[in-house]
Amino acid sequence: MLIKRKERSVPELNATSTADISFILLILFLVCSSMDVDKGLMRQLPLPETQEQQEQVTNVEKSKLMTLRLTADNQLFVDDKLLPVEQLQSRLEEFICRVGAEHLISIDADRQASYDAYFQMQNEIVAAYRHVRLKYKDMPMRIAETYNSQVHNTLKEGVGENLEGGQP
Amino acid sequence: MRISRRRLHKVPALNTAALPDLIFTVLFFFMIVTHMRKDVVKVQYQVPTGTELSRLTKKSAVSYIYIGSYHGETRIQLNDKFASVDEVQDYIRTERSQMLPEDQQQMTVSIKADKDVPMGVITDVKQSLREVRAIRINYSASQKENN
Repeated sequence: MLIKRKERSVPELNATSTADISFILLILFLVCSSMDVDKGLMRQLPLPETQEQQEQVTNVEKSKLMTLRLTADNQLFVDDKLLPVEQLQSRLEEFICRVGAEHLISIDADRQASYDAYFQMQNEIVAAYRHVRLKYKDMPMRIAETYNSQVHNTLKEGVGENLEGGQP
Repeated sequence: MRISRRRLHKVPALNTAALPDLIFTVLFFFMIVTHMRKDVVKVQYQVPTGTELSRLTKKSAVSYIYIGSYHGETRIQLNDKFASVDEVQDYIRTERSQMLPEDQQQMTVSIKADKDVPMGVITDVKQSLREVRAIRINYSASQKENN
C-alpha cells in the first residue's frame, strides 16, 4: 500500500497559456500608455508683486538695462534696433559679461506676436545664461517682463533662480 | 539502413517554459518606462523647437495646459474639456489639492502650446498662474535637430 502511494506524482501544472496572458497584458500597456518624453524650457515665474517692487524695477540705470521687444509681426528689437534672433545669444552674453550681476533684461512681447517667436527668444536667453555661467558660476538671472496690456504689469522672471533644469 | 535510421530521429520539442518570463520582463520594462495617457487632447498643437530643453521629471507633480487650435480657433484645454482663461486658476487649485504634500512644493505646470498661438493668450495664462502661485512652468517643446 505504502509503496503504491509513493509512486503517485503530482500532475504538472500546464503553463502553456501564461505566455499568451502576459502577451495580452503587454499589448494592453502598449496601447494605453505613451512613451513620449516631455521636454521643455523650465522657467520660474515671479510671485505676485507689491507696488514697491514694481517701482524698483522702473528705476534702473539705462546702461544696465537691455530691452527686448517683440513686435506683432514677430520681429525682435534689441534696444530699439532690429536684430535677428540667431544673434541674440552672443549679444546677450556680451551684455551680461560687461554689466555683471547688476544687469537687467526687459522683455516686452506684443499680444499679437506668435508664441514661436517668443519661445525662440526665451531659448536664446537660456542659451546665453548657460554660456555665461560657465565663466561666472553665480550669475543671477535678472529678467523683467512687461506687458503692453491695459495695466502696466511687471514680471520678473526667474530672478536669482538657477534656471538650468530648475530644482529637482 | 541509413534511411530508416534517419526516420527514427525526432526533433525535440521546443521548450517554451521561459517564454512567459521573457514577456513579463518586457511588460515590466514598458510599465516602468511609459506612463499612462491621461487626457484626450482635442486641440491641435505643434510645439516649438528649441535647443536648451530639459526633461520634465516627476510626472506626478506636473499639470498640463494645452493651448492650440480647434476648428481654426485658439482654445485652452484643461483636463478633457475646453476652458477660458478665468478657469485656469480653479483648475490649478484643484490639481494642487489632489497632489501629495511633497509634490505640491514642486508643482510644475507644463504649457503645451501651439507655435502660432498669439502671445496674448500665453500671457494671460501666465498671469493667472502667477496669481495662484504656480510659478514653476515649463514651455513644452521638442528638440531641434541639428542639420
